[in-house]
Amino acid sequence: MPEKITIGKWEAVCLLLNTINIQIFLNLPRYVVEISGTSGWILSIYITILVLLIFSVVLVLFKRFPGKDIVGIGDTVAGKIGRITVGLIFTLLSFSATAVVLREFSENVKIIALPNSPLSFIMSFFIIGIVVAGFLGFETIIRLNGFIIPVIAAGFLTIILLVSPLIEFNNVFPIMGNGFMSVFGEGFLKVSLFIGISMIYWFPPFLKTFNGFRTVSYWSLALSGIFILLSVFVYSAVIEYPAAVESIMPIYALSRLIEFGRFLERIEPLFLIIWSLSAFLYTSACLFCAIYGFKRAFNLPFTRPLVIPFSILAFNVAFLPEDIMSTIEFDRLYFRTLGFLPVFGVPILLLLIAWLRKKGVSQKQKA
Amino acid sequence: MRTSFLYRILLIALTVTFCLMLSGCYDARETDDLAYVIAIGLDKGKTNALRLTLQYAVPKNIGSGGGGGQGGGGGGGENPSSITTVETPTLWSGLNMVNNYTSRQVNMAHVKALVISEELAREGIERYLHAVIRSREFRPSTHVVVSTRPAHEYIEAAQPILELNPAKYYELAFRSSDYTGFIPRINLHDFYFNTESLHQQGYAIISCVNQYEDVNEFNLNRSTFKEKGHKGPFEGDFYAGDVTRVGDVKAEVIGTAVFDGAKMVGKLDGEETSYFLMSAGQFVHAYWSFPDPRVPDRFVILDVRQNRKPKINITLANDRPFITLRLNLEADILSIQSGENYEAPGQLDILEAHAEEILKKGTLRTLNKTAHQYRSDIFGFGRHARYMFLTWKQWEELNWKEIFQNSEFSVSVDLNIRRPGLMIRSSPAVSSQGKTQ
Repeated sequence: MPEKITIGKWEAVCLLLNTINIQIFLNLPRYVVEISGTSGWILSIYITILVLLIFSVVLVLFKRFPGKDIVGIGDTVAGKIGRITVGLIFTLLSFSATAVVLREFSENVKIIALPNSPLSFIMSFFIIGIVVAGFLGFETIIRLNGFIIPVIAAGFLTIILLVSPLIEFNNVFPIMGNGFMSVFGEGFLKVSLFIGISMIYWFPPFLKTFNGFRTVSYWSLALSGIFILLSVFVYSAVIEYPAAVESIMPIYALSRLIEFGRFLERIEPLFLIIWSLSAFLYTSACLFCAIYGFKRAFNLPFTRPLVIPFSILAFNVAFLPEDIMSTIEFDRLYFRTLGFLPVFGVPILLLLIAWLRKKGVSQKQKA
Repeated sequence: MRTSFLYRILLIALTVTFCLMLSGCYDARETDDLAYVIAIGLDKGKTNALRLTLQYAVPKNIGSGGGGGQGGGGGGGENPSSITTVETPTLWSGLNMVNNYTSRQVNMAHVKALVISEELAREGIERYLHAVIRSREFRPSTHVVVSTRPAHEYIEAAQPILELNPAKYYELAFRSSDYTGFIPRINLHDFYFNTESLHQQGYAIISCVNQYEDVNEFNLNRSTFKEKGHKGPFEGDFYAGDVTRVGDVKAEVIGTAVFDGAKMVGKLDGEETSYFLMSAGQFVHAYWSFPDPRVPDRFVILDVRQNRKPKINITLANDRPFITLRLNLEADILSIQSGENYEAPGQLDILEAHAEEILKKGTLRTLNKTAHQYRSDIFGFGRHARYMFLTWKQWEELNWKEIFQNSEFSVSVDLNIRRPGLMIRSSPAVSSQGKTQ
């Protein structure tokens, strides 16, 4: 990302909304219902509040190092080792997230739309998108998010609105679902559903001020929480638990139920369009961040030479899981459960080191 | 300059490649390459586990107008649909077999009815249900129908007269629930979830081939009016196949198949289905004949509507549910055969109270039949008991589907007659001997 780029808050919020909420189109509503049963919507509210609290701690780090991204902070706090370690952690995170989502999306497209097409054929479309976006650069990616995400959000809300006549409020009872512990105990780990926010760690140099950075963070998290709540609530109120844990693509399952008279039905192609757009934007942005992280970690001058190697690598890594079930399991275990460790753990660790080593601008110094 | 030129060339090449790849990819299928199935019949097989019947549309005949009769195995003639039957171990292997001898590939994206024979339904249909639900081709809106005769007989008899498009025939025929109340509205999605639900059991439409060929054959041997204590048969006192009627279309639907899990355990006739729909809050409107409160051999016909959901209150005492049901109905007068002036102030109350009493008794009888005889909560009362529990484990431990059979019901009906039609007053006919009664 060339340092001269300045991005608007709107574009940044849009990009983060997509990176956090992409899972809604995959299987997030089902996943939340699996954990907490009929109280999935409570879990959604709980983790949103939690992640807002945790992120307010992370913000302290970025306030201490204004205008620096996470690798820059790592460099300042722990030198070369810090820079390379932090850079590689987030490169690996973005890269593996790209590969997993690439595989899941392609498999899902194969299931619902192109059953006879080879997986590599479907995946190649996403890869071409990634390569083109990689060459066009960060500015193009983020500006594209700025005007496509509202369309995707509108499409998603249309599905929710059209399916709302099927909402049965009794389906979200018993109110505590699988129990207090499943929501407030085990549920704590599910702040990992917000790991997409990690992309903002690259934004400080482009978001002019810390206030802008903070505004983007809170808006992204809060709006994402609302979208997650909406998807989980509507899904569990329409498709009752325990049948709700069966659907491979919950929002797709909802869109198939839409029927108004004899004329308005079969609107799932709308879902397919917004879903593919969302996947293209996500994989492009995510892999670009992996490339950018790698570049920053090793102080490389350009990102373009890395685009094709990283894309080919992502394409191959995406094929490593034997089947879609093991991909989903990997996603569930490493991203949705332990994902919070690097995403929130690393910045908090850096904050501790900075505090111990008295690096950065503290409140006292500012005063 | 050179870079920009190369860049443009690359972009154009990419675009052209995409166009070619997308227009002829692996999944390209022309609509006229496919045979669209509109109804599927499942029977017990003679030589194999399953007898699978497929009725598929013959598009060239839909536009040009079709005739009656059946098309047989290969399609043809002027019939807008063609029917084929195979014996097969599973549903999907059956489709494989059919694909073997039809020129077009069979496609399930337009299936309107899944017809299961009563014999098979009573054995349990879970294994076939999963096969259908898992497939992306089947629509969740497909109607679930139980045929009291073999499913293939019903499908063969379902030859539309008023419709050219057989798919439209099924769509419209099953919508009669909204204006007769004699069949439930049930689709594959709801049926499947009801079989898995902890608070509700499944139900389906009952269909059959009518038994009568001529009006002289009419009899009431299989009408349900006697067991319900009616003096004569009302319009809903039949199961499908037994309705005293003749006509070009031999297929008919009336009644509800009651399931316990994925097994059929009983059935409700047309009138009981109306009570079931009212109790479940799914009744829309229907013409309803009530015996005249003052002149017993005459009828008052009302257009009964359910504009508001019923109020349901459930209490539990020693695992015994006490269910209080309050039905709120509205009605318009369609006919007063006796000519009694029920429209007059104070007289309407008599008619309302009389209708309320009949509806209350019928509802209670239906509730008791399903709970105590069939042990099946097709009404979804359990849904209203979920509020009482804090966690899913507690709710699961209650085992609603089991304790429902111990239920005790209390029903009240509030029926308000709103409009008298085009007449505000009734008067008896006057003959040479004076006013007639």
